[in-house]
Amino acid sequence: MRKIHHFYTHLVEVEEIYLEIEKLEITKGNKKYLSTLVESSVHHTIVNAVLSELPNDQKKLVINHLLKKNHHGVWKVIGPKKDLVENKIKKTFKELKNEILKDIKDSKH
Amino acid sequence: MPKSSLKRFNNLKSKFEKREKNIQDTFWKSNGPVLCWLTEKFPSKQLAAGSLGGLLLLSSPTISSISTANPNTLEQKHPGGVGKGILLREDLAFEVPVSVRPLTGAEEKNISETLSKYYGFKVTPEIDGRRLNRSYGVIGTEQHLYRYPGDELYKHADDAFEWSTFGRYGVAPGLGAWGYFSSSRESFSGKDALREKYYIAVQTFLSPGFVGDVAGFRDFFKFRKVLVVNPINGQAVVTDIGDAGPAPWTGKHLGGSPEVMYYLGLSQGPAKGPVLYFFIDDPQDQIPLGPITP
Repeated sequence: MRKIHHFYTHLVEVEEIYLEIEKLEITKGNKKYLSTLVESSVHHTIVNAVLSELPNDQKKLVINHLLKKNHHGVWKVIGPKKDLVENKIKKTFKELKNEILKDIKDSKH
Repeated sequence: MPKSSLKRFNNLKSKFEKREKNIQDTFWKSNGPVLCWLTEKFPSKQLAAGSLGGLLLLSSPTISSISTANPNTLEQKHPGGVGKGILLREDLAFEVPVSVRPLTGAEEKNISETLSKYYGFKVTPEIDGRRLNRSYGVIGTEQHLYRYPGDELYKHADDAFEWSTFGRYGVAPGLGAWGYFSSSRESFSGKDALREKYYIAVQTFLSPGFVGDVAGFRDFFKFRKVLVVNPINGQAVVTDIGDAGPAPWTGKHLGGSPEVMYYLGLSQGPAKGPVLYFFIDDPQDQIPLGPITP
């Protein structure tokens, strides 16, 4: 699975999910498909969580930076809310990760 | 793969897909006004090409939920932020019949003039005396097409987003009506790639006069550009004719590649719907293939 570096990559550990997918007794193509669904779900969930903490004018700035892959620009806009947003990213990701891992675990039975 | 493993995979796949859809629906509902601004500010191609490194925006079909809102209300709340796509949709609502049937001459004239006005290039039901059997019908989903000898499905995806979104449709076992898009991998170009990516299949064989001039019609239709518009949500794609079909007994009048269906907002649920489709008069080949906003 090609690793894509996002502005929040240092805050989340998606590898745990990919490792569990890798252990599944399914084809390589199917593992890749599940992994891409996970990556998309994580990305949308986290971006939505970040945007929910910002007023509309700052949302536009963040989205602008995201399109240009300017991670530094994203954090600059978030500015004084950095700690709040980081905690929200970690919390949101943890909930989603637990959900996904439970689904994988349940699939083995 | 053992049957039990396949069953487990399918169950897991179903859960993951359902979650993904819910997440994206929530994303669009939460950020609708800002995303309206975005579609106005950036050409749709930039958004459509967005990789996971940027922002996945157009993978949710609920963009239509944004466009069903009252455009006047949206315009008051977000001046300059309401896409012209919404306004186009409102104009078409007066011109497109409620039932999906062949358009009358007057309807075709009005609609093609409206589309030409909004998109800034000539949109027409007929070129050089040649036309399709109809210009308003039900589009269904086609599979990918082999593009050159030795082509493989996974090569159609440029990144993880494309693979996860479009890979699952598979590739048709047979070649398209024009054969391969390129004679070899070596000569395969970006233009060839776009032609397959945004191809439609139309009922060339039902065109008036086709039987008496098959070769002439074939040359005319081969990769001819067609503007396909979803009148319900205002989403549109510049496509090219890459195949012939579907058979009349299917109840559908044309088919779209997975990418075309996606950018029309028709990739979920029954994966079909009514669309307008008109030729683009583009002799200089200046109109790029792909999703387009007014």
